[in-house]
Amino acid sequence: MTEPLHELFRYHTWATLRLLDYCATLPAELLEFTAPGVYGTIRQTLAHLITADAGYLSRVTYDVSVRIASTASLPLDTLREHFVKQSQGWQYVLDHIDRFDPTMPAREDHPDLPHALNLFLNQAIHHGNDHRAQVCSILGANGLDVPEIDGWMYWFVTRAIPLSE
Amino acid sequence: MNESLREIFRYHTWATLRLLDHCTALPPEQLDETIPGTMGTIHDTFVHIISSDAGYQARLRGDASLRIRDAKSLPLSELRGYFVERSKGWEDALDHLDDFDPTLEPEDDHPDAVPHVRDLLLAQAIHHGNDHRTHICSILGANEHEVPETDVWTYWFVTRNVRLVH
Repeated sequence: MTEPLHELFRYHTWATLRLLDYCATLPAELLEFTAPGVYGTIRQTLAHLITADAGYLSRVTYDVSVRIASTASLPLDTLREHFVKQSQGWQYVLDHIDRFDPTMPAREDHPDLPHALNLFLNQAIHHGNDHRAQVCSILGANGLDVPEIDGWMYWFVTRAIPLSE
Repeated sequence: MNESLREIFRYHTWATLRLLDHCTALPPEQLDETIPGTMGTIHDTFVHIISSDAGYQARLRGDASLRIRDAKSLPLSELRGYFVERSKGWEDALDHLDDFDPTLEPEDDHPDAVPHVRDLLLAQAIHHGNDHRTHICSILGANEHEVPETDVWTYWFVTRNVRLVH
């Protein structure tokens, strides 16, 4: 039963890296593009996606060294390095899932939330999807190519399924 | 581990219904709004989310009757009914995942059959719902309409009756 959840996180990693690598090939000024109804620029959105992902992993593992101090000035290749390490961290969590029982600490709007492992796993998957979709919307809205990063393409690429020309 | 996957599907159901219910309360003309970089109008995007979701489950179970015919002509209230039913189907499927070993039939983009795609269909169902809910939220926000909170934090607070501090 572990495999579907592993696949979801592998997809999360694959899609984020594929989008990141695509955006890394764009002229720097295009990374400052945005569109109505999204989070911010392409660069800001990718930085937010990866920083938040690190934060969720840190909450699960109680390892604050995973957190990324400041992403505002980090280039995409540095963000990529962080995200690759985080993805390995998620795989470790999934391989030893019974060892983790994090509490989400109280904040201004809510008390402590014990037994929050599934909250963080769920949020990591949702948050990545949400902001990748926004980056794709920015690309599309500005007339740029949008890379194929859906579940189908993940499966076809990672299983070397022959595709039609 | 099964519970983690189940939570992800429960969230998928909760967020889709919450967004659907929010949009059902909008004036009909707002359902025809869209913005560049998304799939289409709000209504068309819901049609696509819910009919595709049914299609993934039909493939998983090998049961074509689960597909939704003529979904494009359906109002949101009828789409909601289908989605609630299909969500029960996902819950049931998660109870018996080892029973499913679907094969993807050849299509235009992949000329060969693709066996053992259960986890592909599960991943795509989750991704697809998220992706297009985001589109609808972008359309709402870009048109300066209220955007309902459909993230996992809110899901957790609502479904666990967490007392929020205001």
